[in-house]
Parts: sequence; structure tokens; C-alpha cells
Amino acid sequence: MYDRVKINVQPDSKANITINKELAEKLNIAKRKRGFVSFGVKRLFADILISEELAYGEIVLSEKLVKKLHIPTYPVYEVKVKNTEIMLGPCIGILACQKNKDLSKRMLKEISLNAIDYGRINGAIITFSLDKVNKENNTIEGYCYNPKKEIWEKGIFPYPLSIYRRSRLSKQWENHFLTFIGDSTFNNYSFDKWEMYEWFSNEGEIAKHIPYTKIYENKEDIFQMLEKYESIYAKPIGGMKGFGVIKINKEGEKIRFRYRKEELNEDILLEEGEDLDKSIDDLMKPGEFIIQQGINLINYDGGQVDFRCVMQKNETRKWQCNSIITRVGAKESVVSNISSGGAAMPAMDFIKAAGLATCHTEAFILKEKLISLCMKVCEALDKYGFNFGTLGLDLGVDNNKDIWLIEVNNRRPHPGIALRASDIQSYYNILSGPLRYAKALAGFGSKEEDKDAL
Amino acid sequence: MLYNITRDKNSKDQLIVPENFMKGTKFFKKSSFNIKAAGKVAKIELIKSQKLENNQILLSGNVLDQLMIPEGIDYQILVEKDCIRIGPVIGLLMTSTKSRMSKGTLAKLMSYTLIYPEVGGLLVAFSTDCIDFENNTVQGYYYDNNFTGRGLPWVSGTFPIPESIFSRTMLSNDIMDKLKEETNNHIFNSHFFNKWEFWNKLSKNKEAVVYLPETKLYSNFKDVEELVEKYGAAYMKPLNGTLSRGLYKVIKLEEGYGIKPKQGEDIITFYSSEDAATYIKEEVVKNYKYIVQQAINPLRVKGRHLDFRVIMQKNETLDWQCTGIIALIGSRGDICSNWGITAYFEDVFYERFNFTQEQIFKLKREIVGACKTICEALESPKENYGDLGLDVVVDEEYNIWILEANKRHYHTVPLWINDVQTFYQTKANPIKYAAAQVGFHVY
Repeated sequence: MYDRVKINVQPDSKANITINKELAEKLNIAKRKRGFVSFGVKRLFADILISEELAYGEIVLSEKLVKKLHIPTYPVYEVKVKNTEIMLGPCIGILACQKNKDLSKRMLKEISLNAIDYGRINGAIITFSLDKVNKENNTIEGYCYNPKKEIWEKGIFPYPLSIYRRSRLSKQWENHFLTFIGDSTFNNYSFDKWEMYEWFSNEGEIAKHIPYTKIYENKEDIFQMLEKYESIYAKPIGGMKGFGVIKINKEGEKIRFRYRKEELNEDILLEEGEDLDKSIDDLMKPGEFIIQQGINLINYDGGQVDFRCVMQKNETRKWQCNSIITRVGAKESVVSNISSGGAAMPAMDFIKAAGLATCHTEAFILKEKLISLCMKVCEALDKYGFNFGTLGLDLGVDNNKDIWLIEVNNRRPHPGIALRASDIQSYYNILSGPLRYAKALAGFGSKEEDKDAL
Repeated sequence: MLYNITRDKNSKDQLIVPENFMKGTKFFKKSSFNIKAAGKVAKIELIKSQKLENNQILLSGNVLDQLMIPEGIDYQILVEKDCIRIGPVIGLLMTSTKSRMSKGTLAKLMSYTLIYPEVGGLLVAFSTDCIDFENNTVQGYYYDNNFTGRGLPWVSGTFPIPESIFSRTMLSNDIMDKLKEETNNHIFNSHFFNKWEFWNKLSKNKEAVVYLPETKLYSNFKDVEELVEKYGAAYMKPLNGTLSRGLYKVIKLEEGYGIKPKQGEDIITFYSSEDAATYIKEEVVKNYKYIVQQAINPLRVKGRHLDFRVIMQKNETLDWQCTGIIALIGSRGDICSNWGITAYFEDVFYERFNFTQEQIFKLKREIVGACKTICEALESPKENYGDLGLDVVVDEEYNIWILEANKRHYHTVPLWINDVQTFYQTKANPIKYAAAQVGFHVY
């Protein structure tokens, strides 16, 4: 962490900044008379005054500086010096939604949970909607977190140096922000299951962990795949949360389809012929579905089991696994997603309970293996040029204890997943993760000095 | 990706790789390289072969001998400019003498190998007396992950001095300096500091000093008097002692001083400072070196002191992380809580202090933040730390105090609360850090 300072404002029509002598010495600017102060994308030249009376943890800014730079004075700031720049920050944006009318009190309260780790984040955390961005002045009208009162205060602020995308950011907007803050907006890219299959099937270390997949083009595809694999899954290309997943397997000459429809589990068994053809046409449209090799995932208490790993980048911009939860699908359900009625528990408890490991050592090794695959996937996505800070990966383990990558969820993972497993501490950790990464992107992460030196 | 390296008896100066080796990189077409394992270098010709599996590599016998690395284990291979690196070559420097590298010791070291599949390379356990600085080699045991024989998978041999060393033994300054030079400062934990050096180094640091109780090196009773006057009570601690050995508490009484020796013993009352001074000089300090430290009023559980062991380690991110926090609850009336009842951090605050989960999260983040500040303040360009056990106290106003950073802390502390997974994590992190700090992957 950089040195923390409280901001005091002095009525002065000139731009100047007063710093305690010891702090100035530490920041290596004790002899400097002039420099520029920056907050978000705004910068202004200022006279530097050194004071022996001022407390170490305080900085005095002239009113002019505060107004020109749009600095809210209630946050605790960290201060960092880069050549002649004195940075106050971190200045972090949270894109909450598209329209201001949707930015309700309730939404702000929910976003407050992202700031639960404020004590280690510091700076200005600004929540905003896209329609309140002022492209002319490079400012946003939004809400800045007041850590003392634990409320959001309305105001006008400069563009922040990093943006956590809780909501969609179009290509045009992405490019607009790129000009001012660089590649520092993260999360919420859309790519579909088929794209992902194509990429990962070319990654030596990942390919062996993904089930064979192809785009559904005609019924022949289904029959051919059923020749090769015991069961197959059909999934809508852009689907989430297990919606629209169909499990298909052959039973003698008949074909069985299992899926959920309007909260109910459907199960139909059909012979080859017109009925079958019609059912397939009803269930899935060519080009909109992928069909995938079925994996015999381990079962527990009659339900299918998978592991949800929440991967997040931390203040060093490196990936870490912040939670692994085991999800057990409802009995006879074709998916193990919680939203379709399953249960969840911390992975370690489960691995032992379900006999996946006979001892602690095996449990540890399995856990590390799961995390290891997640790391490879996350680093591959980095390599492709995406800027993700949080990813939710679904992994499965089959009866041979081989590990499979089932799905990569690139939208915000439902934090409720940790709550269900009664692991509230990791729930808070996941919620506060994005701002730790945002802090690094805004130039205040740990080891940022080393990066600046390069 | 890990490659299994096999000795090729028929060739000389060759590295034979699968066809798609380095495909997609600018090195794909290059064929002449230096090859390096730790400090050993050789020259090779890169040959591509259709016959090899993706993770198979053949290396000419003469090169293997030059590099002094064994065949048959899984290595990472990095390509950097005109150099191919085989590794990581990680050292576990665990004892001072070869005689102490017993089967029992090697069996214990197995917990460091659980993470091997994510790291690979040559993991060598060795003792201080088996380092040959003339030939830049060590004699020791390497972990053979494909071992099929009977007994332990540690195989003896002579290897290059590892490029990255995790040291858990005391080293003389001379040997430490040589190893620092040999590993390019990739040996941790490097310098052993005592309690006074700890304070001396950190008290100059503005962010760190707020977490430290004021400390003086004992020279005479004046030092004790001063701190007792200022804080009501002070501790006397031996400079190099661990845990509660040799701990005394000095309290200001209405008339004179009270001195409370360790575990459960009664307070001895001294009506004059001369008597107290004599007792301290003759019964406590004797010929040892002591520090005097401001006493902190820790939180209590049913009258017992509560303190925390925070395991701070670097991992593959090369940054400090908290591996675990264990609450230690001392036996009633003890001046120090070491070896008492142990519990999960979260449980103690939830059950004993009625904290909400949110409050627990925030306190934990604050403690971890304070510990990180201390760990970072200890670092300097010449020292390398990666595995510390911090003694932390939270006082009645919920201020955080860091009493000490232990460099050879007990990795088994998580086992006191039956947290086996955290124990394994504690063993895994130094290996992850050791690999990552010399540029190798961990996954």
C-alpha cells in the first residue's frame, strides 16, 4: 500500500499542494517546487509547499486544485509519485448500468458490498451509469463512496483510471475510454460456447480437459455422436445457468431426451421415425446449439456433481482461486446448476464426504489439480487479449477422476454461490475481489513501483 | 507444460524435441542454443523429431552429465533469447549436517512434494555441509516423481547448486553470502533477525511502527522503569528465545514493582526499584541479552489471553499472502498464550465476541494488511523472505499489534486446529514461490 492521506482544503485561488516534510522526503519530492497533481484522468500543475507542522498523514490542497480536478474530499487517498506527477488515488469506476434511472438505492446498496474491503482499497470509488458520462469534459456524474458514513455521495468526477464493468460496455464506448484510460476496463465480454471450444481445443494443456464438441447442423450429427459416446449434451450456444440443456442417450434402438421445461424435468423416449425427427426439430435449431460429448460426472446422492471455481485477479494482477464450491444437482436433473434446485458445499468437505479422496493428501492434490486447470484457462484468456478480473469456471470430475472443463462463465458469478455453502467469508472475498484488481489497474496495486520502473 | 527428459546415448550435444516444440514463437526456427540448468551451461543443437510425443524430450548423455541433472523426471523448459532453461532447480536446505538427513527427515519432506505436479523440475533436499562451492554442486537427494521402487522417492546424487533455495536452517554469514551470490539472491528466508533487530529495522518505517509495541534493548533497570512508567507494564523477553521461554512481566505497583515469571507463577513484589533491579539483573537477565517491551492488553476469552499466529507467505504471485490465521488461547492467568487452546480465527470472534461475519471479514483484512506491511518493511534488496509466522495480538480497543516475525515458524500450527489443508498449503507455498521467483510457471 502507498502512504494514506486525508485531504484538507484551503481557500486559495492558486493551485498548490502542501505536504508534510517527512512524507515529502519519503516520496522523494522534498526539494521539488512544482509538479502536477492528478486525480483520475484530470491533471493540473501546482506549486508544492513543504510543511513541518502538517501531520504526516495529511495533505492540504488549494480550493482551485480540488475544483479543477473534481476531487471529493471525504475518501482516504493513497499518494504516489511518478516523475513530476503526484497521483491521488486510486480512482476507480464501477459501471453499474446503462441508464441512470436504473441506478436505484437498492443497486447502490448492493454495490456497497463490493466496497467491503475499503480499508485496504482506499481512494475514490465511483459508481455510475453510462448515460451520465460527459464526453466533452471527460467527467461522469455518479456516486462516490463515503467510507466514514458508508453512503454514496452524488457528484461530478473525472473519468476514473479503471472501470469494473458490472454492466455491458459497447465497442464504441470501449474505444472511447481506451483513448483516455487505456486497456483498463475489465470483465463482461461476450463470447459463446462454440468460440471457446475452438480456442481451447488448440491449447495443448487444456484440450484434453474439454469434451468433444461440435455445432449442431442436422440430425445426423446427433446419431453419429451417439455412436461414439454413451451420452451427449445439447446446449444453446449463448446459454447460461444450464437453461435449455438437453441430455441425449441411446437405449437400445430408442433415444432418450431429458431436459427441464418450465421448472419441470421432462423425459421422453422415442424410436427413430417421424416423432423423433419432429421432437428434435422442436427442441433444437441448427446453428444455435452445440452438441457435446457427455461426461460421466461423479454422482452424489443421486445428483450430478460439479465444482464452481471463482478465479479472480488480485492487487498484483495475478490470478488466484478465491473459492471452490461443489454443487450437487437435484436428483435426475441434467445440470448441476444451483438455480435448477441443487445444493452446494465447500469443495474440501465434499471431496472427502463423497469419497473422491481417501485422505487429506489426496484431497489437497485434487484441489490443486482443479485450480491448476483454472489457471491455464485464465492465462489463456489473458493471452487472447481479454481483460478479465473475475471468472467463474465450472469443472467436473468423471468416474476415472479425470478433470473436465464444463463451462467458463464470463459474466459476474453469482456471489450467492458462496452463501449457499455457508462460507460467508469467501463470499465477501469474492465480492471485494474486483476492486482489488481495479485498484491495480488504476496504478495503485502492490508491486506497481516495479512496473513503473520498467 | 512439463517434459519428461530421457538420456540419449547415441548422440552428442543434442536436444531432440517433438516437431511442434515452440511452435508459434519466434524461436521456432532457431537451432543452436545454450542450455542451462541452475548455474550449469552447455551448448546444444536442437533437433526436431516426428517420433516424439508432445511432452517427451531426449537429451544427449554428455549434456545431461555436464548439467548434472537426472533423467526421467518432469521438467519445465523455458526459452529465453539464445538460451534454453531446464528447471526449476529448487533446493530445500533443511539441516546443517548430512547425518541429520535421515529417512525420518526425508519422510517429513514429502509434504513439500505434494505440489510437485504443478511445478516439476529438480527438487533437491540437501544439508549445509554438502555444498561444494568449488565445483558449484551440492550432494543430496532429489525427488523422483516417477519413482516405482520401494522406500522413499528421494534419490541421492550430486547436482548443481540450486537456482532457488528455501532454507530452514541456520547458516553462517559466510555461507549465506556465498549462497546469495550463487543463487543471485534467490535464497529465502535469508537473514535471521532477533527481536531487537526486528524492532530496530521496523521502527524507522512510518507505516510499520504503528503496529509495534515500543521496544528497548535492556542495558539496565532504567530501560524497564521507563516503559513501565509509560505503559503501566512491560515484558522482558530474551533476544533469541522463541514462544514463551524466558518471559517476564514487570508491573508498576502503588509502591514498587511486581515481577511475574512465566506460566502460572505468582507475582513477586519488590518495594524498591533497587530490589527489582537486582532481581532482574541476577535472576532474569543473567548473562543473556534481553529486550524490554511495552505490554499490550490483549483480548481475553474467559480470562485467558488471546493471540494469533498469522502465516504470511509468498506464493507464485511473488507477493505476500496470508495462508492462515490461527487463534491461540492461553491458559488462565498466563502471561503468554503459547501452547494453549487453539481455534479458527472466525469462530473465536463469532462465538466469543459476537462479531457479525462482516466485522470478522474487515478485522481479518486489517490484520492481514498489517502483517503485509510488516513483511514488506522487512524486505530489502539484499534480503529475501518468503515464509514468516507472525505473532499478532488484538488489544481491547481492537488495535492490532505485531509482536514478532518468526522465520522458522512451526508449519504444523494449522494442524493444532486440525486444518490439514492449510498445513499442506503452508508447505506448498514456499515451493511455488521458489519456482516463480526464478521465472518458472506454477500450475
